[in-house]
Amino acid sequence: MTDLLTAASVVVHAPDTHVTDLDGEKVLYVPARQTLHQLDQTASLVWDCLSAAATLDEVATDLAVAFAMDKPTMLSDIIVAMTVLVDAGALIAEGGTVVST
Amino acid sequence: VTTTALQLAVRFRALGYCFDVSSDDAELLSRASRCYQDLTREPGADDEVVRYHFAAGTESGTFRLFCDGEPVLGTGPAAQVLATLLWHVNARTTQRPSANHLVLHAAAAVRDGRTIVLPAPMESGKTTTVSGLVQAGFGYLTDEAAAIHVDDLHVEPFPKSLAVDNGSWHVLEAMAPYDVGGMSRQWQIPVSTLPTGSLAARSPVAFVVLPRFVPGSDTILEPVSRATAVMAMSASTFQFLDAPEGNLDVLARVATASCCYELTIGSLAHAVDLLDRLMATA
Repeated sequence: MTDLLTAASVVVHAPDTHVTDLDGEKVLYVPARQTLHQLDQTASLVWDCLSAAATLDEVATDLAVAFAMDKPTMLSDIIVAMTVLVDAGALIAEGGTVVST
Repeated sequence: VTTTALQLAVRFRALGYCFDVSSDDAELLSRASRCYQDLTREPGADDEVVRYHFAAGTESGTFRLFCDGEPVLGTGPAAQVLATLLWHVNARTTQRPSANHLVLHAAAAVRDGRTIVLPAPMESGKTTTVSGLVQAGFGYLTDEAAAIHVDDLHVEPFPKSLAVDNGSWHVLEAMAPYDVGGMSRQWQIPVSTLPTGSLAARSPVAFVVLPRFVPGSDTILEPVSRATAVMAMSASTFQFLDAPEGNLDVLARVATASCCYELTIGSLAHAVDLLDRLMATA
């Protein structure tokens, strides 16, 4: 499991993750794990918003406005989803420790 | 004046896999030949030819199967060695690396020049569904392996005999007289022998339908996202991990070029009707 992501966490795309975009949904291939992951449109949007310059809190702020959702719910959903992708090797938590599952 | 013909071996070509079949027993060779009668007979210029041979076993009525001189199966009755040949050819055909094709574990049929591909794991209803489509007048491409050319996304014909398991015999009763395999639990039906059977030429993929047989369920055809179709096709791609990024990109192009659906099959007749109407209107 990944160390707990928080609102202050910064996560970035793992450089070797292969990304295919189809109608706003993404399919990811993670070579190190030889696994595929499907992201729905919301998760794909989160994926596109991730960068080394933004904390998850900042991403949640932007998307909560875009989707007219309350920010705590959006932040909670993002942390859960991104934790899965960090554990899968598709994302890297900067400064975080990732323990292989 | 009389002449006598002696058939020593028959040569076939399936998706670039070229093989001879010979036998010590004329009847067994004839059965094998009928199972493959819809395949191309002429090898390509660059093909290596793999040689299968049915040798008589030590007991009467038994045989052994060899591939390029190596035993594939110990002694068994004719139906068993024939089934082994069919399995071996399927495996070799689908597992050959090809720079130009991505091969899906899928059935495929054609209507009006457009291909419907049905990728799914075993026991999902691929052969049964494509058999129903053939009965409804669709052109037959394959019930086992859809080889998609990576340049033009056309599906190549692999018209092996329909391999209809006994669990589907009750819904495909009209096909019973056309079995050429003589096996106890599976029919081998060369499509060209069926009254409505027609073999299709290579044709562009236009529909990806994910079949799932659920006994007793309603028969439902529902759209799925292209990403969902890509995930399912990835799981059904032979040797996907040989070139995963490239294969994923090809599958994305296939999905983008197609209308994508999931088909829950409770009734074959209803499923065929839904697919027929889909291809007539989409």
